[in-house]
Formats: sequence, structure tokens, C-alpha cells
Amino acid sequence: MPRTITIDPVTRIEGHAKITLQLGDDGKVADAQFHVTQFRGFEKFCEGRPLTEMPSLMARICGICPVSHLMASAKACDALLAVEIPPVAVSLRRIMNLAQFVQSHALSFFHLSSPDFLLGMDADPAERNVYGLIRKNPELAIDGVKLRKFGQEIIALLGGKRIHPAWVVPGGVNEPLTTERRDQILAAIPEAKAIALKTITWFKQSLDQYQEIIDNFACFPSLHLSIADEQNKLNVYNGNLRVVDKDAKVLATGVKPADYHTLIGEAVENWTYLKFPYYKPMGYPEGMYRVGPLARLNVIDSCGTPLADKELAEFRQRFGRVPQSSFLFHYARLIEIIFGIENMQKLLDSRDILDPFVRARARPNRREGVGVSEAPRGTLIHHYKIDDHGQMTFANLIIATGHNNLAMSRGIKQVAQHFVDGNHLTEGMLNRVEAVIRCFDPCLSCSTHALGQMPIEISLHDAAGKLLDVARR
Amino acid sequence: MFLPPLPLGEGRGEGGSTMSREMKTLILGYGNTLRGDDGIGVIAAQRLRQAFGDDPHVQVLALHQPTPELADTLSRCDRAIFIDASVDVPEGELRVTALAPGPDAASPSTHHLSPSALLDMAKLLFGSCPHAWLIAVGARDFACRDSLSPPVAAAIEQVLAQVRQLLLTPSPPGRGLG
Repeated sequence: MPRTITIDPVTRIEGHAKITLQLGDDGKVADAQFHVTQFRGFEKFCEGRPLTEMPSLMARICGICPVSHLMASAKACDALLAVEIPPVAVSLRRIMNLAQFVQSHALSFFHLSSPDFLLGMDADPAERNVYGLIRKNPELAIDGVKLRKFGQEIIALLGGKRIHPAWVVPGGVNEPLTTERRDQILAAIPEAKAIALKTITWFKQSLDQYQEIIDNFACFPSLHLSIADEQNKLNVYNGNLRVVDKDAKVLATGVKPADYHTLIGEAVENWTYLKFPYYKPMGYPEGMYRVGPLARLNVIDSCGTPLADKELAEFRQRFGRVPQSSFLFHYARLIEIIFGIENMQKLLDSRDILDPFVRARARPNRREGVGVSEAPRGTLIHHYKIDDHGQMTFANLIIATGHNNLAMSRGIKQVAQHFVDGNHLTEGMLNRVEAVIRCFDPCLSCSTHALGQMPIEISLHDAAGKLLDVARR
Repeated sequence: MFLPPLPLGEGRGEGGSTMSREMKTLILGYGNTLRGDDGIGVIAAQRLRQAFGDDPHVQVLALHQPTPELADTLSRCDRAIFIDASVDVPEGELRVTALAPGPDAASPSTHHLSPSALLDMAKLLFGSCPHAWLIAVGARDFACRDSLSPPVAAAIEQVLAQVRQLLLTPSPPGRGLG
């Protein structure tokens, strides 16, 4: 008799979700659904607020990636003001965004996912966490703390606090960088770089043991979307939208942020609050694409910094020009950490970085504005409309985790079909289903604009919908 | 350790990005100031920063939530005082508890850690953790607003007095319980 397994809540991700696995008569997984069960509605309640409040208001969507929302929101507001912000403000915003990448990627890699790598997918869940990591490899745990602290400290130095800094404003930033703070950050870079390089060396050496996972963790052809600069280099703050397919064929490039709707449509399903963006020219659901670290590396031609480009070359040598396994999101994160540290150093070494002219001021000059930047988890789009008084009348947010919704759902199905036997459920099987979600490092608080942690639950149902079993954490 | 220390008093926002080697006591007030009484830890920390701004041995941090990277900072302190709202304490009253390092069963691997788990991480990863106390302020009203209820607002002075008293308490030799 066909049955269904539900994983609820999903652990070690941000937000609340559950997974339902539908089993066929043979006890094998026939279908899978990833349900996001939280809703908050930021898009609605910001209506009526003055545009100047939007960056700080939108940053409250998430305690993990507030900086990302600050960036996209401020850029949308820049567009409403129709200002070109001072060059040094662009550089300072980029430094903060890169620091956010380093700290967020460090959290994802070291704290959330490395227990799976180090302790194994079948390890006791009581051990398979950061404490198990500390016991098994304290040096790696210390490196994780240090690298995350590095990113957080830079955000605090620039923005005044680690979480929800209000330093990024429409028109630029509200305070220039001082010599002392620049030197503090520069002094910390060598150790951060050394940790990043040591970690990627360790991860590459251990990759062979994950071959079955690499081949089955959301490993399928899809499109990849990211922004890229005019030379198709990695730029996580500014650029135009670009889409490539599994063969690196460029389907779209140089698409202005304001024209995002020509590429992206959004579908809804009645069993989840998370929408399903898709590549519009291909329709839904055929237009499945991925965003985030792996997608960015697949979209760009190069990173533009020497150490990251060296690692990118090796990455492509091992896995091809457009790798398709989502397990490689982890590898891509480490390359992006290196890129972030190198890029910050370059920006901080520039002659004009202490320029005090950091903000352009203007009244609203347009009724509609779009801001696009890359968040650690992928492309982030804020689209605003205002009235004659500069008050918000419309907001549409397309968040990284949302972009990946189709791919995550398909990845769950693939993993479940390969690893889950409905007749003999084990903890390790269920953890693999969760782990494929962790590859994407989803932030469901962001993607439904909701608040909270993300435990997971898996349920088992028969063909008639009768609940047979539930596994919770 | 990672970023060079900021001179005291030059910290921004939440109270400086790091500590100097000379600072021996770390005060961490945390919570969400947009959820009514949950902000008591942050507001108390802001008051304490004004009070101890010239003291080179005291560092005050006002935080949204305790995060893992604080383990490094804690490991280099002799004493730590955490300040947070609590539903387990009568409204407007204080409960002071000596903390021992220990794993956080509720969220062992996420971005948020309990004070005991942070102390545990400091001890396990960096070899040392401070003597620590939690000042829990009884709170009931967590509605969406950026002000404290009258009973909790009235408790701020008690928190400041309690912190001063703890700072006068001689610490036993060595660091940390457990």
C-alpha cells in the first residue's frame, strides 16, 4: 500500500519546514514535497511606510542575513531617489556585504553542515551537532568560530552592531570609514585568509568519501542564475542578471535589475507558503533554476581575485564547467569565502576608501525602483513602488531560498528515492533528506519573510492520506 | 585575538567590536528591543555602558542574541554577567544565578546559544571560561513595541545595582564553574 513519510521539523536550517514523502506500493519513494509552514507578510505591512525606513525595516526580516536585505533595499531606494551614490559608498557597502558572506558561509559550513561531514550521516543525532564537532575536530570548530567572528566584527565596525546595523541608507552609508577601523580590518585579514585556505584544503582532501552523496544530492541538470559584472566576473553587490544552462550556454545576460520580471515568474502551490520562482521563457515548472554559491560560480567566467580563481580552476577541473550536484554548494561556499577576504583587502587598500563623501541626498524622483544584489544564499530582489509622498504602495521580495524552491523539492525527491526505504526507516536516511536541504542553506525566515528557528518533521502517509508515522526533532 | 583591540570607549553601537586584553569583566545584555520587555537586557546594557564607559576593566555588549563567536571573547575574561528577560521570574523581579558551562540541549548547533552553552564552548575550544552569572529579569509583556512595561522599566535600577554588587564580589581562584 502506498504510504507517506513526513520529516517535521527540518533541523539545522533557518526557519520552519516539514517534508512529506509519498511512498508507492513497493515501499519506495514516489514523490516528495517540501512544505514551508511559516508566514509573516513583510511585503504587506511595509505599505504606507516612508521609503527612508525601508532598509532598516527590511533588515528585520532576518537575524542571519540582515545585511543582505539592507543592500537590496538600499539599492531599491537609490533607484527611487534616482541617485548615483558616491563611489566610496559603493566600496563600503561591498565590504559589508562581503563580510556578511564570510560570516554566513562560515556559519553554514562549520556550524550547520560540518557535523555531517565529520561525524557521518548515520551518526547519533545527539552527537551530530556542534558539540560533536568540537569533540571530533576542535581545530575546525575553532576556525569556524574565528571566521564567523571575523565577518561579524567587520559588520560591527562598519555598521555599529553585528545584527540589524542601520549604517546602509538610501543614497549611500551614513558614516565614513576611519583609518583606525580600516587598519583593524586589514590586520585581521591574514589569519582569516589562512583559515579559509586551510579549510578548503581539508575539504578537498575529504571529497572522495562523499562520492555517493555528490552523485545523489540534488544532482540534476538545471539552469543557474546570478548577477555578474560587465566582464562576467563575480560581484556579489552589483551587476546584471545572467542565466546559464547545464552546458554553460548563456540563455540571458546583461539583464538590468529593473527587468527581472522578464526572466522570472512566480508560481504558488496550496501546500506551502514558499512561492516557486521559475525562468519565465521556459514556463513552470520546466524553468527550474538554482541560485547561490554553486550557481554564481557556474554563471561567472572568473572570480577576479587570484586565490579564488585558482580554486575555481581546480573546482572546474574536478567537476566540469557547470557542476550540477548541490552538495558542491559547500565547496563553492569555501571558494566564495576566499573571494570575499581577497576582495575586502583589495577594497580596503584602495586610495579613496577613507573619502568622507559617503552619501548622496535627494528626494524621491521615481515611483518605482528595483534593487538586486547577491545574498550568501543567492540572488536577492527588492522591488518597490511609492506614492507622491514617498510612501510605500507596493513591495515584492524574491529571496534566494525562494529561487531554489523547485530545485530543493526535486533534490529532496532524488535523495529520498536513493536513500530512503519506506519499510526500514533509519535516522541516517532521514538525516540525508535533511542534509540535502542544508546544501542550499535555506533561510525560510527570509523567504516567507517570517521569524524563527527551523526544526524539521518527516511524516509517513499511505495512499489514502492516512498518517502512518512521524519523526520530529 | 582576531581583530586588534579597540581602545576603550571607541566602540560603536553595541559596545565595541572586541575587547582589550586588560578587560576582565564582560557584561552582555541581550534581547529584542522591538518586542517590549524582551529588550530589558539591551536597555540595561546601554545604561551600564554609560556607567562604566571609563572603566578599563569592564566591557559592555548590547546584543540581539548570544552567538557562537562570543566564545572567544568570553574565554579571555575573568568574569561575565549575562542580562536577559525571563518568564520564569515574577514580573519586575530579579533572579541572579551562577552559571556553569554546559551543552545547550535545545539548540545545539544553531546561530543562537544559551549563556551556559557559550561558556561551554569557550572552555572546550579556547581552554578557559569566566566565572559567570545570569541576571534574569521577570517579564511578561512581549508585544510588538519598542518600550518596556512599567514593572520591567522600574527594574533597571535594580539591575544596575546588582551588577555593581557582582563586580564587588571577589571571584574564587581560577576561572569558571564546572
